[in-house]
Amino acid sequence: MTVRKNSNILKSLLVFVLIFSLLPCAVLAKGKNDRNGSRLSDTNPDTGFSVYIEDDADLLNDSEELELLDDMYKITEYASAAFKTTDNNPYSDTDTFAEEYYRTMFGRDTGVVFVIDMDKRYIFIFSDGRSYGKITKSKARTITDNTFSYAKNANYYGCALETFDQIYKVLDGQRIAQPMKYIGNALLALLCALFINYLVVLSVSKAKKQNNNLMAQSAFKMLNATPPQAVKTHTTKVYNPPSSSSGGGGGGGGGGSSGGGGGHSF
Amino acid sequence: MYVCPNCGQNLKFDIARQMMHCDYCDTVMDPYAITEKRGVTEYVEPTYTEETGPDGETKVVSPNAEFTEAANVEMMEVTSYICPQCGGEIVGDTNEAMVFCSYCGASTPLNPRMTNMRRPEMIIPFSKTKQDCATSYVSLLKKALFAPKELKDPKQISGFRAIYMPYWLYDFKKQGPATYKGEHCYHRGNYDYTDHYSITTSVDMEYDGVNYDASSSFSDTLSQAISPYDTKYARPFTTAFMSGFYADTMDVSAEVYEKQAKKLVSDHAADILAANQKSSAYTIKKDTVSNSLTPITKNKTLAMMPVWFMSYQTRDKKGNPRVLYAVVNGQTGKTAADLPVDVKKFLIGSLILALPLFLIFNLILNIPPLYLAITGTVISLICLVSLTSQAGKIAEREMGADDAGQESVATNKKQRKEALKRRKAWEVKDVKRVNRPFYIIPIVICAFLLLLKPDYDYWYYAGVIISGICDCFMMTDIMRRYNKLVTRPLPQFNRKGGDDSAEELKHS
Repeated sequence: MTVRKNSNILKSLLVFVLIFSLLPCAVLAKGKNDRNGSRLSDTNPDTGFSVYIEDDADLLNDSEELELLDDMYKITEYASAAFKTTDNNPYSDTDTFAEEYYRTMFGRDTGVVFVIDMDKRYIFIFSDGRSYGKITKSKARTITDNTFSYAKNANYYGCALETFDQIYKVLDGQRIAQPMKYIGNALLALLCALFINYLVVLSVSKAKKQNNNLMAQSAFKMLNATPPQAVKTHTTKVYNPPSSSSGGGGGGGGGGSSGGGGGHSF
Repeated sequence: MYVCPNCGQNLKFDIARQMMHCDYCDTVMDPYAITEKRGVTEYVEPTYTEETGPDGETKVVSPNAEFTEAANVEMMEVTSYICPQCGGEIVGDTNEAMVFCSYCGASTPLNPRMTNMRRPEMIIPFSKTKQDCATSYVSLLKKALFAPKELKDPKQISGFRAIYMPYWLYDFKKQGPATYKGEHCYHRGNYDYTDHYSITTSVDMEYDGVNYDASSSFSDTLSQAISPYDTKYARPFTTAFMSGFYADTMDVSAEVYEKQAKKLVSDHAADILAANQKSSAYTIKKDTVSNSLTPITKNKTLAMMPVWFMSYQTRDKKGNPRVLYAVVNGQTGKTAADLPVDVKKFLIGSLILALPLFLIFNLILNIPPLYLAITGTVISLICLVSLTSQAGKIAEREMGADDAGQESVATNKKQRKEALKRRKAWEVKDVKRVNRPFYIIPIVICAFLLLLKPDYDYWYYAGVIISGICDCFMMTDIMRRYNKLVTRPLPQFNRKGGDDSAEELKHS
């Protein structure tokens, strides 16, 4: 009896040991799902890229945040990613806010940030590093064009989920729907074509008056002139003091901002 | 008609040979070897005096005694044909019936009559054949992508008529001092200083043969588009050169273009002087140089210049007849034509061009909808300005105010004033004809979008689509008005040519 009891305890201990010994492996395999205050993060150990969620505006519930983090994780194959919400934007626009947040999180490394700004009611994607080659300003604008309607309907989780899904597709080299871009470009192309053809008509079809110089040149026979004698007749002067507001010489330029993004109001 | 001494048939000037030629017996004769007096052809042995031209090669022929005698005659008797529809007058020595008018394009028999016209002093014979002319015209049409296909019809192209157009050749000279102004600017202390100079130079300049057309029926825009003629190759006039060709009569006095021609010459000379003095310490004021170089007129010579001329009648949107002209310089082959636009072709061409543009834009552009709406509106604004500015030009064309020659013969000073008033009134009416309330729609939409800034892109795209439709309508309207601008109302000549000119000359 005692032996069987001891054996059960041993079995339970073994299970515990097994669980505790395998747990770090599981964590290592999936990455570390960490909550630090309002920030939720996860890191891909293979690529070193991380994903972050900072829902300062409290637009998502806990389970939505975890699901979103889980969904965002696939982006770490290519870049770091962060989702940030705010209802207190100290900057004049969301673009600056997103860029500042990006610099704080990733510096100049490869990454993508998606911001929902409840203060300015604007969504914005900012990317830099290698990912900027794919998530260009134009692409960022296209993605936000496609997803702003979720935010408009207060479905912020859906908005973030769809946005990061499209970001992943772009980074992965897949195609995303961009109907607005096509509509806009089609209209612009038509207007430009009309305008260009109008210029073509003006340049080709109208009988142009001959250049006066050519007309005179054809009749030109000779022109001889003696060296000119210049006599100063008078001098005029106009008061023109040097500008008092002129500044000193300019310093060297800064490094210049790389990266960029696009957004949409909602 | 010049009679061939060998077979009695008609001798005509042959462009390729630059000689008189009989199509029946292949006789070739020098144009200066034939004269015609009271309908009787006389043959003389021409004597030439060879002169070396400015290029060291040109053989200048001076007329023989017979010819000099003929040249002293101020008037010559010709057969002129009057169009019963437009009053246009054309001179021809052929016995062929004239069945269409070159000026209004009407297919109607023209009434012949004997008349007197002022004898030109010089002539540049045709050196471009009808084939050369057709080739030049076709190559011009190739560039005009949206020209109506009727213009490219070979039958239409074969309608070119060889016409000698009267031109005034002005010879100018200036010898003596020319004084103009120059200045040198610099900054010192708190002041900008300008030193003013009076510059004197002694000039000796000559311009020979500045040419302007002397016919009110030949549009200034066209004549200047195919200018200039190289008057080095002008030869003393003999009617033999006109055998087989038509001619227009001079009805614009030499004074009409004299001032314009002087300005042309003095501006050109001023350019040369200014270029020579670029390195001097002062900059010269070109307008003062030009004024100081105003030349005096040495000679005003009436000359005949070769023009291949074609007219084509068309109708505008309301069914009113319009005429358009194509002309080819018979010496240089330079071509100019009123080329209207086939609006259908234009729209289809724009759709075709839009396709590659769309593909390129997709690679490089993703314009936010608001900016797109603004772009559409800017294009609308440009179209609107273009439409309004066309009105002034159309008014000028409709009233013949863009042609100094036509204006000079049609009206006296008082009438010109009235015509100007009429033109202004017409212009105002025409501007009102532009459907502005409709065309302002894109601007209003853009203003609303900027003001309301709706979140949904659909609003912007709807705005862009509406403004795009307006732009398309506007562009179509611009093209229709452009067609009005490049075509002309049917001419109505009240010419003082032929006998009237003869009478005037007798009294003067």
